[in-house]
Amino acid sequence: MIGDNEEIERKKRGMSDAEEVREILGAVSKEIPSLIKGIIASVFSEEAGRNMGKAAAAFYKELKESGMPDEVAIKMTENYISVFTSLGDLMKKFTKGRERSTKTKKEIEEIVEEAVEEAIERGVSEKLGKEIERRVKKKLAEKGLLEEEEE
Amino acid sequence: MKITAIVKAGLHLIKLILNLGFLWLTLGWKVRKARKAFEEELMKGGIPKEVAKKLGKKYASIKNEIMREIRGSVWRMGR
Repeated sequence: MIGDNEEIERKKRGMSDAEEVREILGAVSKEIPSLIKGIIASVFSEEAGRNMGKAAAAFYKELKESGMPDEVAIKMTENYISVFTSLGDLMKKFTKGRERSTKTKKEIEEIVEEAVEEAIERGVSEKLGKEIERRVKKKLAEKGLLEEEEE
Repeated sequence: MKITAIVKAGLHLIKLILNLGFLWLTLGWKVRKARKAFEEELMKGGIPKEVAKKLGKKYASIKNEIMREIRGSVWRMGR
């Protein structure tokens, strides 16, 4: 139904699929390179390198002046730099976020099932156990932590 | 009309690929320049040359990390 409406809308505008693809690619070919260029320039430019170097050197100087041993000061400066350069970690988190959330949902489900099994073993009736499990899952689904089961 | 649109879409795609290729090629050069400036500043701040080189290496390693992540995400999207 929605697809039909889109088709009608497009016909109204006198646009074909090829024209739409052309428009999308036109926008993408302009925007994506400039976006990537900006990200790269914020980390890998002469000025960015100089600023990071200045900050790291000032940090090291402070540590030395406060009487920190050489090795410790260097190690701490290394850690300080890795704070600036955690872009890779950020990307990792960003790209793996979806996988992790699926894993968490499975973990929650397993925990609920285990808890119910344990309760049944301790004398709670199976019917009551299943009812509790159903309700807990429903609550979690309401909060978006689990997908709601079809009844 | 349709053929013109397809040709134009193809040209945009080629432009995009060329732009990305150019960015990828110039990235190494930019990293080298940034690393050099970074090490210079560290040495000006009193950090020994060897240590500055070591820290510079760490700074430049972000490039590999970024490239690895991009490759990984493209691979994941493909699956």
